[in-house]
Amino acid sequence: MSSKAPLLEVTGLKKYFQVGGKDILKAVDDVSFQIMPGETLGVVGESGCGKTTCGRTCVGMYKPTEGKVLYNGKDVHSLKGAERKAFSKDVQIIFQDPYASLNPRMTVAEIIGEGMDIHHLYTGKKERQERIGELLRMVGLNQEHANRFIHEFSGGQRQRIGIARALAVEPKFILCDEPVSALDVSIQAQIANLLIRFQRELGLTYLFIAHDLAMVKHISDRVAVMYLGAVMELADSEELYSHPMHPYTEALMSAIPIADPDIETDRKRIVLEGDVPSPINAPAGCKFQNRCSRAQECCRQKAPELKEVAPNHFVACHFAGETEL
Amino acid sequence: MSEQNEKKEINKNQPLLQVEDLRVSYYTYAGEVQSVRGISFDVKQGEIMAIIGESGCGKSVTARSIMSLIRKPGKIKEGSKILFDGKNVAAMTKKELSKYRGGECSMVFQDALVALDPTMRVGKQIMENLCIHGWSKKDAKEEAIRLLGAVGIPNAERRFKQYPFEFSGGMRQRAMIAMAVACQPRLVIADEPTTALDVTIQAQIMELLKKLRDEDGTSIILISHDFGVVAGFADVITVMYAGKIIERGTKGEIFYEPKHPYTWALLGAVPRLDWKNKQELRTIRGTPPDLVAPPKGCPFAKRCELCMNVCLEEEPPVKAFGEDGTHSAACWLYAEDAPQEVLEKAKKFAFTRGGRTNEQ
Amino acid sequence: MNSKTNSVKLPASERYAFVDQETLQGDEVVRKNIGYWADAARRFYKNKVAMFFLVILVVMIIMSILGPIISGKDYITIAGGEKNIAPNSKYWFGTDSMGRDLFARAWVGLRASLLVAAVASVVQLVIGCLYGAIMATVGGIVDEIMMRIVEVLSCLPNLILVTLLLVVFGNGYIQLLFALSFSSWTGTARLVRGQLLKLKESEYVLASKALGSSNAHRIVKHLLPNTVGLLILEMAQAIPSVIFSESSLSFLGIGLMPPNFSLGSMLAQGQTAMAFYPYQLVVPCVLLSLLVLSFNVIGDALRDALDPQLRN
Repeated sequence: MSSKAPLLEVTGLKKYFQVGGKDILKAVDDVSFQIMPGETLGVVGESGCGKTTCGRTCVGMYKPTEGKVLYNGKDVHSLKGAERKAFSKDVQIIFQDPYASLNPRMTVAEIIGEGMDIHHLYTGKKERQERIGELLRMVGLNQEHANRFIHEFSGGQRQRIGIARALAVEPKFILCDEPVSALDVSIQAQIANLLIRFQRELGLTYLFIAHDLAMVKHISDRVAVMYLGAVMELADSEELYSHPMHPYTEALMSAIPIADPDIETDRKRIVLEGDVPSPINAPAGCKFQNRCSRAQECCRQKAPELKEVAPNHFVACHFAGETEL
Repeated sequence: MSEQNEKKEINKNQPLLQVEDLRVSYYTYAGEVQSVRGISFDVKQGEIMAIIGESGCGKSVTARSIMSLIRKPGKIKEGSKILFDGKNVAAMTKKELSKYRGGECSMVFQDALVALDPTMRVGKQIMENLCIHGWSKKDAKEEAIRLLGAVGIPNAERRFKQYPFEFSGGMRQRAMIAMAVACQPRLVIADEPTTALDVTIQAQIMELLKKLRDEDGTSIILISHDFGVVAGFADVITVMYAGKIIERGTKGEIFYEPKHPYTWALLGAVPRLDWKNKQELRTIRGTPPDLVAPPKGCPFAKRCELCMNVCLEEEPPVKAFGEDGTHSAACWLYAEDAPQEVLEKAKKFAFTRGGRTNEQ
Repeated sequence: MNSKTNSVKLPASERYAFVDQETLQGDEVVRKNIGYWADAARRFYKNKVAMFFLVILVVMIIMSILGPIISGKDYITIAGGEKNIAPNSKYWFGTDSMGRDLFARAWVGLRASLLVAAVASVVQLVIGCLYGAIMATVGGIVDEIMMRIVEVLSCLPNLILVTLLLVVFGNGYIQLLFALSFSSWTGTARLVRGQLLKLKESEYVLASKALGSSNAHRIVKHLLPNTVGLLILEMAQAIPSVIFSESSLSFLGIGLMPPNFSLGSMLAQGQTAMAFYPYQLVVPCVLLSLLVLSFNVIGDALRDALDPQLRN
C-alpha cells in the first residue's frame, strides 16, 4: 500500500473561528496526515476536540485558515467547474444525526435519487428506480420503502438511507462524521458491519470520526487521537491499542467501559482530573499539560511536535518512547 | 463493617420497590403507543439494579412511572401497581407525593442542561429541594455547599453562586447528583446519567454514584443502553425490549450465562478493544417493532436468528434458571416441551466471551 | 409475560421448527405512509373547534358575495322615509340612519374588510419573503444594511406611520393597502431570514451540497418546501391583524371614505346611534368578532397541524 500515492493528503491544516469579537477558537491547530486508497483513518477525541471541523475542512466544506488538503494531488479548496463537480461525486459524507440529515419533505426515493439526478447517473426512469431498489437492498431495506416519507423510519433505518444516499453517486472517499454515535448499540453494529462490508466490496476509503475509541479502533486501519485541535498520537490501530504512548490515549483507553464484570472490577482506571479546557483559551505549551500526570516544566513551555517514535507510530509528547508507560 | 453488613442483610429481605404488571400507554395521533406492556420487578434496599435496553424499549417510561411523572398523553393503565416501601405510589396524595419525590426517591436525568433551571443559581436549586423537605434556609445553604463539595466540585462555595451555564457538562451532572441526593433518598433513579458525557468524564460520574450506594446504602436504578457502563456497577440487571422484560438476573448470570438471543446480540454488538479489528460484529437485523401495533408473539421474533413458528404466534413463557430463581428469561427456546435439538442449536448461537461464536 | 395456553396446538415438531430467516421482515414499517401535507390535513380535520370555525368562515365568505343579492335591497341610495327601522321581516337587520338596508350593507362591509386583509397580507408576505431571502442568501454587508433598515422600520409606531401615510396620500383602497403593508412585512422578512439561515446550516442541505447540487436546486428542493408551512402560519396570523388595523382606521375615519365602507366604518356609524338603535352597532360588531375569532382559531389549529415539533 505504501508504494501508492495517498488519496488524501493534509498538511499543516489550521482552522480558526472568530468568536465574539476578539477571541479566536482554534478548532483545528496544525494537523497533518495522509490517507491511502482503500484505507480507513479513524479520528477519535472528546467533544470540542475539533474532529468534525477537521473532517469537514478536508472535504472542502470549510475554507482552511492555513494549510492544504490535496485530494488525488489536487488542492481541494481551489477546484473549479468540472473538477469541482467530479470531486463532489467522488467524496461523500455520512452525518451523525439521522434525524437532521434527511429532508423531512422528501420520500426515500427522492433522497437517494438526488445525487444521481445531479450527476446524471442513469439513462431512464426505469434504470433510476432499479438502482434505488438495489441501493436499498444493499443497506438491508427493500423496494417497498422507496416511496415512504422518512418520518416514520427509526434512527437506524434513517442512517442506512443516509448511507444509501452517499453510495448512490459511487464515491471513492467517504467522510463518516460520527455515523454511529446517535444510534442504539445493536444498530451501531449494523452500521459498522455495513461500512466494513462496503469498504471490502467497493474499495472505499474512509475518514471515520467518532468519540468512541473502541468503535474507531474496530473500524479503522490507523487511528489519530485528537485533543483540543491537535493530533496527540497517530498509529496503526492494533499498535495504538497494544502500545499507547501518549498519556491522553492511555487515559482515554482506560476510561472505556468493558462489558465484562470480572475485567471491569479489577481494572485500574486513570481518572483524568477536571474537564477539557475550552479551545478558546487552550493552555500554553502542550495542550494536555494541565490534566497530564507526567507534565513537567518543559511541557508548559513548549508544545511537543508529532514525531515518529516507532515505525508508523507518531506521538506528540516530550517523553514519548523515553520510558515505558 | 460487620455491623453494616448485618443491617443490609436484614433490609435485603424486604424489597424497597415493587413494580407489578406495569402498563403505560401514550395516546398520540398515530394511535395508542404501548410503551410498557406489563412488567414486574423488585428493587431491594442497597441494591443497584440496571435496566438495559434500546431507545423506545420503555426503560425511561418505567423510570418516570416510578416517580409518578407520567403526563398526558401518557397514562399508567389500570391494574398496574407500584409499591414503594409498601405504599402505593398511585394512591398518594399531593402532599405525600411531594415528600416522596426528591425526599424518598429522586432522579438524575440524562441531560443536566435541560433538567437544571437555567435562570436559577445552582446552589439555590439544591437549597430549594432541601427547603421543601423542611430544612431552614441557613442549614440548607450550609448543606448545599457541603453536598457540592461531596460530589467533587472544587470551590463549592464559589460554585454555589454560579448558574448552570457556567458549569461544564460533567460538573452539571455532578450538581444534579448533589441535588438528587440532598434529602438522602432511599432510591435514586439515574436515567442514562453519562450518555451525554465524554468517556473520561463518564468514569468519574459512575464512581460517584457507586460511592453513594457504598456509603449510604441507597438503592439505585441505573438506566442505560450500554452494557459496558453497567458491568462494573450493577448487582442485578434487567433487559427490556419493546416494553417487556425479556431477561433478568444477577450481573454474573447476565454477562456470563445469558439466555435470551437478544441479550446475546446486545453483548456481541459492542466492539471491544481486545477483539480482532474489522471482525464482523454480532448484529440484529432490522429495527425494534413499532409499539403502535406490537407483534402478537415474541416481540423480538422477527429479528431473531433462532425464530421458530411458535415465536411468531404466542408470547413466550418466562422460564427461571438455577435454584435461587434470580435468573429468568422469556424465550420459547427454553419451553418445557421444546425438542432437544432446539436447545442444542441455541447453545451454538449463545454468546460467549471473546465475541461472535457462530462464525459462518 | 404470561404464556397463553393455545387451544389448537400445533404438533411440537412444527411449533418449534425454525423459521426461514429470509421470510422474516425485521424492518417492517407499520405506520401508514403519509406525506407532510396529508398528515397536516388529517390533524386539522381532527380539530373539531377549528372545523366549526372553518365552516363559519366559509359561510361568511359566501355571504359576503351573495348577501346583497339575497336581500335584493338597495344599500347605497339614501331613503329618507325608512330611517332607523329596527330589524323586521322586510329589513332583517334593520336600516341605518339614512334608511339603507343593514343586511346588505353588513355583507358588503365584510367583503371590503376581507379583501383589504387578503391583499394586504399577500403583499406583506411577498415583500417579506423576497427581502428575507435576499438577506439570507447574499449575507455579509448587504445583510447588515438590510437588517438595519428593518430595525428602523419596526421601531416606528405602526398606527402613527399608517395615519401619516394616509394623510399624505389621501384615502382609498390603494392608499390603504399601501399603508397597511408598508411596515408589517418586517416581521415576515426576519422570520424568513431566520428560517433560511437555519435551513442552510442543516445537515440535509449540507449533504445536498456535498452531492454537488447547484444553488437553485437547493432552493427548490430543500429550502422552499421547508419554509412553506411557516409562511402559511404567518399568513394566518397576518390576516386577523390586518382586519383589525383596517377596522380601527376606518372607525377613526381615516380608512375607507364614503361611498366606500367596511365593517370599521359601519362600527363608527353605529356607535353614534348606539344609545337609541343598538342593533346598528351590534351587527357589524358581531360580524367583525366572528371573523377575527375564526381566523385566530384556524390559525392556531394550523400551527398544531403544521409545526414539525408537535408531530408524533
